[in-house]
Amino acid sequence: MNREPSRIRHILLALDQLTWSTGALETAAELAGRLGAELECLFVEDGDLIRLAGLPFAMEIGCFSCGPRPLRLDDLEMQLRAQAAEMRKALAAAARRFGTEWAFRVTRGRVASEILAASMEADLVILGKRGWNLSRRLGSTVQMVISQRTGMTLVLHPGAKLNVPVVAIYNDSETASKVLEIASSLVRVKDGRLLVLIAAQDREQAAELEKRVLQYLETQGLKAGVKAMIRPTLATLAHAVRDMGPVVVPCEQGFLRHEDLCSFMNETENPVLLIRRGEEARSMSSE
Amino acid sequence: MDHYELKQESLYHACDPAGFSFETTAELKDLGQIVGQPRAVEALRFGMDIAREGYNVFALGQPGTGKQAIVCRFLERKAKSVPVPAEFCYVNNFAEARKPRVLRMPAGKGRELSHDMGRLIDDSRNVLKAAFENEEYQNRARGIAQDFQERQQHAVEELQKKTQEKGLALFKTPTGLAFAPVKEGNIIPPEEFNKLPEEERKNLEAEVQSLQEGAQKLFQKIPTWERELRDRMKSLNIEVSGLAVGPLFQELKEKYKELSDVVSYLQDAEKDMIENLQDLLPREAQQQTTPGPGGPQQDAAPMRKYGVNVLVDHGKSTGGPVIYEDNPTYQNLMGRIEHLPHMGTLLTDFNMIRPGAFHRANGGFLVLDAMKVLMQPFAWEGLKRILRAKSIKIESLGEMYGLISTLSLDPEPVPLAVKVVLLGTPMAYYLLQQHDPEFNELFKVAADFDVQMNRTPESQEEFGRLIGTVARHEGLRPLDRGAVARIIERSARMAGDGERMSIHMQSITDLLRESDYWAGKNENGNGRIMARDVDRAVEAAIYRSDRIRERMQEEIQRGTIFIDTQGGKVGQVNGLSVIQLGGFAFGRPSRISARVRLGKGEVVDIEREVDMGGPIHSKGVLILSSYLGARYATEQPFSLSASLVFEQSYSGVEGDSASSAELYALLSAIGEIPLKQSLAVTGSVNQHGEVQPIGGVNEKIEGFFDTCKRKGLNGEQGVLIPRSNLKHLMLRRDVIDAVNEGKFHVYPVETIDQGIEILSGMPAGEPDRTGKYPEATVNGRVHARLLDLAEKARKFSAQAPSQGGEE
Repeated sequence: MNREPSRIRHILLALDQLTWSTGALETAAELAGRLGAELECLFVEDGDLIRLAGLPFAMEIGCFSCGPRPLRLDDLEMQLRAQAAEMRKALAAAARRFGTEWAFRVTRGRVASEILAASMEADLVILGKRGWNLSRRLGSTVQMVISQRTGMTLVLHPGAKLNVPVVAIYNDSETASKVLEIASSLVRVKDGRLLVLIAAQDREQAAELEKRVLQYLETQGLKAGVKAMIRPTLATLAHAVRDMGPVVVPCEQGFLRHEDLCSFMNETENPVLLIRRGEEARSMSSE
Repeated sequence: MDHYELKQESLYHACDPAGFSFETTAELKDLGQIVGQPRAVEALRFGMDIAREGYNVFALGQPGTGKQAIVCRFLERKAKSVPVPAEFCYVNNFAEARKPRVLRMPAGKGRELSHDMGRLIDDSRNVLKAAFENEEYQNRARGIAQDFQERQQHAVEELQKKTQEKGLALFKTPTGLAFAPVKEGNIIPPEEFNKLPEEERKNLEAEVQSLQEGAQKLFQKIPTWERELRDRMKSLNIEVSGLAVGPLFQELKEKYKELSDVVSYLQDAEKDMIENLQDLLPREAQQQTTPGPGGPQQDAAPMRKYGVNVLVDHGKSTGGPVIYEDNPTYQNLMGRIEHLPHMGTLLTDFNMIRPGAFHRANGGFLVLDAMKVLMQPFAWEGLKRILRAKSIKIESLGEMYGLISTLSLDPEPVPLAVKVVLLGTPMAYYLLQQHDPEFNELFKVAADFDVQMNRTPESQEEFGRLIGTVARHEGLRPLDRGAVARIIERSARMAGDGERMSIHMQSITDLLRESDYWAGKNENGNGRIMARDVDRAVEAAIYRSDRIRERMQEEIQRGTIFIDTQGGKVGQVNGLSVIQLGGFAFGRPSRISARVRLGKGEVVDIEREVDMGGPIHSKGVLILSSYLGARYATEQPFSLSASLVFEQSYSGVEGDSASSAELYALLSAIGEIPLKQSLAVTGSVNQHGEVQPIGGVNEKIEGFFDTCKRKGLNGEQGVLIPRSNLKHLMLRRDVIDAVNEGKFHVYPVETIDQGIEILSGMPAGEPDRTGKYPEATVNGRVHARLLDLAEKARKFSAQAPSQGGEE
């Protein structure tokens, strides 16, 4: 638990026409700047949409005009190019503010596949949470990426920032220690407070886990709020993290399965950082 | 022919220090009452007491009489008996912000309300923050948002379900929604779609169109749902904020329940606060309170609109205000609306309304210098407008004259109840009275300030107290009784009257200060101002000012200016005039000469002929003609032409104080009688030969004395003065000493006959029963000469036709 974690050197911010937001760009640029990591922004032009535009009857209903209009391929491509250009400009501005080294790339294809392919080399992948603003549910692309990706993944609600306090959900899984490490690193990066939510099966386990947490905090010289929860439901967890900062979650088979995880993320507005078993713990510190 | 000559005691109206009841002014208490201005004080009292429109006061008097100090002192005393006036506060007009409301409050309540509102704002912030962060509100707000989202979600899911049921998929494009047929999770490529049977293609297209219509309806509903969400959120916010701030306002309403205007204002403020609570919540709270009231913050300082602008705080006042506005510009009088530059524009609100002198003096007294008001653009018109309207309306000059067209305020006028006292010179008063019809309507009371007061033992004692009070207030040394006496004597000299004292307070105060200075130099002064310090102050002041006098006397001595001080001359006399240079006046002799010849009975004033003689001087000369004709030519034609001139006069001559001298010169010239050049003459004369009083008698005597002293006193020299000027004599010490020693003489005369006897050394001569004068008299010789001239004229007239015929 006290080993020196390796640094996060490469962050992939993956966005498409649905999930991009200036807030996500800002957050990614700030995080990368503070960590001294390189930020790669990937904008995926949705291949399905391109294909759709090729259909002879393709029409779209405007969100604001509420009227149908023909969906032409050249129009769609032009709009996607415009989005990419705007995103690139926003990224450049944010990166300049935070002194972040950055790269911007546009690709075309199935969004999830493109992101997963690009995320192979990334220490951390940042995704936009929602598919579109009429729905509160996690987009299908995000669901697919978090179900298949093995590394750290940060899912951001549009406009959300990495405000403090950081919340670490701690249980008796192997991943829990990594959760604590990452959360601590994030607290240091943001100069903020830490709240540790202990998810235990019973009181004895809660006491044991709290002891471990306190020991760790002592070794790190950190102060944190510690709150034990016995068999927390998704609702109680979501309630506990309301109005807090990012939530660092251990992705364990026995704790939050994929469906539960998606439900949890649907319930909360917090950024969620997913930590998986087996991956190498990487430090959020800049050294 | 003995002539009355003045002795030492007549030359100086000394003040006897032994007459005082004190040794030094340190023993005297401050003077409570106003000295020497009973008329002005009565006018002030009347003007301040009468509660009728237009009874404002114009205090007129010469500069330096202490009008301002006296008026202010009077008003301050009067103000103590006036109730402390109400306070006026400007508050926001929530219905129309550019027309701020006025609240009238009892003294001290304005500041209290301002403080209370400040506290209410702080408390409101806290209770609102607490109310909106409260779990109850958050849950209810989330519930409303949730309901909206669920409706939206449900509609979308329905649409997605229908889409899936029809083997289609829903896609989000950058600007909207689109539907497409899918096969095994992927969109059917166009080429594959085109290979489908036509009927299937048409079916798919129809399905897509049907879904599009569904999506269209969904999108059309969203704005309505959003409006509903906003309305429900607004209702919730109003309910919560009303519950939060209601008790705070209720507390204040209870406190100010006696003041209906304040209660009405509080109701408006409460309503506004509830409706605009997003302005009250801190940004942080707004951001956290999602999806609470939030919204962009429009105003950098939204709390300003709940402030209370107390124009004048009377919380510590004990009576009515007395305000002297030293710089009565339009804005300083009426108040101003300030602007704050912000992002290239000028912003203002009711908090930036600044009071003027009228606001500060409202309920009391306002003292203004009339000339200063008249010299400030628009101030006089503004002052009259306010007094007529009896309310203070703040208007920007720029707006009034269309010079500025920025958005500004139109504050509700403040009711006005004030007495205005204008200070000014008599000239200003009479000019205003003459040329401004409104002036008489608005300033019905004139408080006329005198510059002199009578000298009596009582008034001298009172004057001593006045001096003592001034010295104390000025931080000067106390004066011993000798110094007080000397100050009184000096003030009599300033008044030009031995029986009166000048109350020109500026000069008196200056003399006290300068005497104190010299007392500081006096090692044996015992910390007091003594008589010699006053003398030194007077001498030093004269020395600083008398360069021109010195030069003139030098030129007389050097013979550049012709003045004889001995011997006798026909048709020549020493006249005396006074030159005023700033605050310093001095006398100088002038040679007056007369020449006569046969003529038509006219006396030519050479000064007038060249427009160097003023009207009063010319009048004096015409009186001489009348006198001569009436006295000596009642039975024969007045066949004389005479000319009179002030020798070596290079500027104008005005006044009739030399008319007796001119008459003496004429009589001398007509009668060919030499006049003593060792004497000088002053005094005007009437048609009956009576010598009338003149001004500046002391300066004139001293002027000739200085000339004689320089040329050498021979015991013959002196001055003839009108007898009626005796009471004015306050001569210099050295003149008095010379008179004492018989080196110089002062002769008071009542008639021309008395004067001519002294000047000529010849009896004037009284007419006998037949009207003839004795031969060896002045009048006899004058009469004889005029008869001779008349005879010559008659003969000349008789010869004239034959001479004309010869031609």
